[in-house]
Amino acid sequence: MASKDDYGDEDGVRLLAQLEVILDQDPLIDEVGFVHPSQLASFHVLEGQDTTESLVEDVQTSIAGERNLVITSEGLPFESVGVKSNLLLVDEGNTESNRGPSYDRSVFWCGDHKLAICIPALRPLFKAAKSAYLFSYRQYRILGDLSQNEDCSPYLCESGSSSETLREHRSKMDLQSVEAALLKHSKVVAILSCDYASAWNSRKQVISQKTIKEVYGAELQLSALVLSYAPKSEQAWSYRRWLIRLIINVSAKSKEPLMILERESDFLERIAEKSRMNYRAWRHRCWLVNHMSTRQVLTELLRTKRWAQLHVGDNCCFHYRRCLLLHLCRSKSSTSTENKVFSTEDFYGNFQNDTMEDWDEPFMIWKALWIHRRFIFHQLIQQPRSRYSITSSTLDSDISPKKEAPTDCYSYEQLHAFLDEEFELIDMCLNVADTGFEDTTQQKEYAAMYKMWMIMQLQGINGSKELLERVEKERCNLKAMLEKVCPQRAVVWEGLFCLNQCSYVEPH
Amino acid sequence: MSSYTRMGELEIEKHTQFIMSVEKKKDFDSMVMEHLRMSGAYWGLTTLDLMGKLDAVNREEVVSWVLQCQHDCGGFSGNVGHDPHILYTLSAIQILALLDKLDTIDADKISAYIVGLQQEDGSFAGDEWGEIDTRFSYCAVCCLSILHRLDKIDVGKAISYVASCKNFDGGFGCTPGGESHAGQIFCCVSAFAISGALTHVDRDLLGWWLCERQVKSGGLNGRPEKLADVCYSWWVLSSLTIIERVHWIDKEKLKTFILDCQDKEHGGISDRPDDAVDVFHTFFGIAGLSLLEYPGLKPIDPAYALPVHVVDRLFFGQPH
Repeated sequence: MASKDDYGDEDGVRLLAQLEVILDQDPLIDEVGFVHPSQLASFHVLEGQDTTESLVEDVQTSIAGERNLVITSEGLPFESVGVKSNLLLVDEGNTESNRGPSYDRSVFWCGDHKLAICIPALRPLFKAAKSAYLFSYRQYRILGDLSQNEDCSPYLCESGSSSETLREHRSKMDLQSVEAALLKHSKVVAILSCDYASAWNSRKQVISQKTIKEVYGAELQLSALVLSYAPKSEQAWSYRRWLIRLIINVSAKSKEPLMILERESDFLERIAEKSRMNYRAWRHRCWLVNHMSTRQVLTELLRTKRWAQLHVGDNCCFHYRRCLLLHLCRSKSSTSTENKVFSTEDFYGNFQNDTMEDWDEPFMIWKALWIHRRFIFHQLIQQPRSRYSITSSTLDSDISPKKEAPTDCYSYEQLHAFLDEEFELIDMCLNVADTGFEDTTQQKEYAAMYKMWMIMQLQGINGSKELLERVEKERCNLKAMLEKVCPQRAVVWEGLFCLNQCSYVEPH
Repeated sequence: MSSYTRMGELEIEKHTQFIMSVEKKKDFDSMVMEHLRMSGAYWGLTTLDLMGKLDAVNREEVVSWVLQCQHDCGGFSGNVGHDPHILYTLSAIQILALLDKLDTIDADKISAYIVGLQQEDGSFAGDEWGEIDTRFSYCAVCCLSILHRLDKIDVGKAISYVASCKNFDGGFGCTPGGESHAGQIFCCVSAFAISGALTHVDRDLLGWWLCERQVKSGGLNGRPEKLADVCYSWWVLSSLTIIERVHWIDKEKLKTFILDCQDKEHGGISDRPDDAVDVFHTFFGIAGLSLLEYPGLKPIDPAYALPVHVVDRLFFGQPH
């Protein structure tokens, strides 16, 4: 079947019908991609009976060549490798029965819950889908208004009973079929134009009248399908939150919300892998923290610790960890019984984990890690009544928090010891040998800025005379360091710290 | 030879042609943007005005279409036949302000729509479906201010909600605890500015975070570890302007970066050099250059994101 570049409106209507059948017959489709016609042809070739070794190789080569032509809003390849392996699986099995419904093979390819649509067909498809959607939505509105004006007698059963008039029954059947059409057409609109908010909103109108669990699952599936090719789609994420709020409201007492949160966590981790530092995805993940139990928060901290070590430049993951830690801070001060399960040591232990005692020198080139350190520093010096003793042991790989005698005071000896450790780390980074690579320059700059941060934070706390003197001394030494490490930022540092005014005089 | 005739010259004529041509595109990529046409129109029209080319547009046609997008509830949608939303309500009001056609609408009705979106905690939903975001707080405050009806909402609560979105780094996110993001920061800082509540901003701390957005190429990113993008030339720059810390970045390097993002042959500006252009980045590039006082461009107000002469007309011009 030759691929076309030019599809008319009638083609659009025909293709829409086919697409809706595909989506209906495989509700588990979890990935969609818009591909170049030659790539679509390759998928079909692989799926066909004639798959000799060399043919497979040829197609693999052509897929590799065509890979640049796969267009998604994120610029991610449509799982080409995955598709290949799935196709081979399909080939090994019974290809005839796996083919499912018949459809235009120059436009669609569907297999193993993946769907590909060729790019030239998108415009007529969208036109047809939009037209069908708008029509069905108008019908839905009309019927909705009509049923509101009907006599409000309750239905006793689906097939009609003596308390249900024929008109009411017919009206109800009409509503069901119109709803079904609306859901069918809005689904295609949402898939093709992921931020077409009105299509998603129509679904909210219909879904909010339903209470069956399966319905919610299918809607989450639709959102995930859209996010497979458009991981930044605001509407898809917003719809997900709307659904989760609905599920939590409807099934608050059951285990459903907890299960949802766990599945979301898995889902979000997969997205984080594919779509680097995706603000909307991580925003969604932070939003979920509000609904988590303390136990779940601790699980997430453990989970993301490992992930962060593998993705050290991912500032979003560190921010998420900050959300989790802050959530623990807040729940610590609440009186819920669940929180009493975790001791003070456990709680501050999490801060320990994040002071990077497991991180080696190579990690010091990552800005995200330094930013995280700023947060930890900021939090720790805000805790004047901490029972946690910060010593050099926190920066070793072997953590064992010292259990201080219960005291409400955060001693200045402890603070000074902590500052010693931090300044030592900074000096180590500043004095690292120049390799000629950008890494070392950046590492020095990050260390210098961290020192700035420390001084700025310390200036803000109510300290002893001794502490203030120490801070002032460090502030006065900043200029020399900054002139060496990042002279281009002079105007900023001068603005922040008035470096030309130094009251501290080094004793002779 | 003046510095403008070197590689970095701003191609005003080409960009004008590009903006006028966007309207006529009927391909799939344009079709899937139709739901946000109101914002697209605002970006295009404001850019034209900044370049002194607004006369190329049929004002009556624009106004007539904008009014078709108003719903019974008072809110505006992104296009005819779409659902209303606070984002497009702001864009609509900004367009009408730009064209000096605010007398065509019922300001009380629009205010009522926005007031209805304010929540108990002072935050704003985007529409009836309840998504909360500080962007919507900005839309509410900016829109009502233009309509001279800021007193219709609980401004104190609106501001305290925005203030609750402040992070340890001095930046702001979309909700309390949300990651600091230059776009969200612009919304929060502008909301404070418009409401006379800039005391909520730690100017030094935020200024520091913002100036760290400048990368080696001279461009600005929106968050740590991200690539530079022309749109941040607006959001970071306007925030720095409002808090009086613009001198903390290298303005010349930024100017060069923006100019390098132009498509000098076909017009338009892209997110970074040599990428595809679009109206969104064209607007933010030109707006950024205006804030940098590039010659030949009208000045733009950093909080209202409208030309200064329009804001002057709103607040010092005709009686309301």
